[in-house]
Amino acid sequence: MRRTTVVGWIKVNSVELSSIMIAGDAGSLFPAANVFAVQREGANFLGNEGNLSAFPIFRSYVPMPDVTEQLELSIHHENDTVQVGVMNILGVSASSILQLGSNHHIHAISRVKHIRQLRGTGAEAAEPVISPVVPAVAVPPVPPVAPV
Amino acid sequence: MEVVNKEIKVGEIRVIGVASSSVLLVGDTETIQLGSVFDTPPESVIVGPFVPFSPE
Repeated sequence: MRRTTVVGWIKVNSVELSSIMIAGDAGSLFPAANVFAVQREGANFLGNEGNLSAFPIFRSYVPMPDVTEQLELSIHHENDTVQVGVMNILGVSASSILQLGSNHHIHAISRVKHIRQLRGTGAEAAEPVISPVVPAVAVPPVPPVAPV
Repeated sequence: MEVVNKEIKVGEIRVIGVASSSVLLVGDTETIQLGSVFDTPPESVIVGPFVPFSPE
């Protein structure tokens, strides 16, 4: 038997970037987040950067605790509710989960890579701070559609 | 092992953020496996001329 979760009042300000809020029970949760965070002096962001497979951190094996151990467990619910009066949550983000209820299994993984790019003090410091103007790519004219 | 769940009654929970594959659970679960890799080594600081990362 599962316990019932009772929440009197809840406010969640934001749930974003593939996050979930679940009211009720669930089977298994498998959240995963890959984050590539670049802080760059001069704010030149080309818009197409971010090939995650170029970094081993996003491909490497992450060791996990085993859950194969057999144990004899007897659980008795003397009180079959989990009660919370008030919940106030500002944000749930980046593949995170807020669940009011029970589940069987959670398997969560997070990979975060931070890179800071600084301009230095040499000749490169003289580069323009403003993003370079990306030349517009010529779009070929669309041929007219033949009437059916 | 024998577990007896008695009363759980929490007054107020205030949370600023739940992020990066985290789970905030008000309830029960049976198994949890968590893995996390966070990389900000000293060599993550690149000082020099602007070189873009490989495109998607």
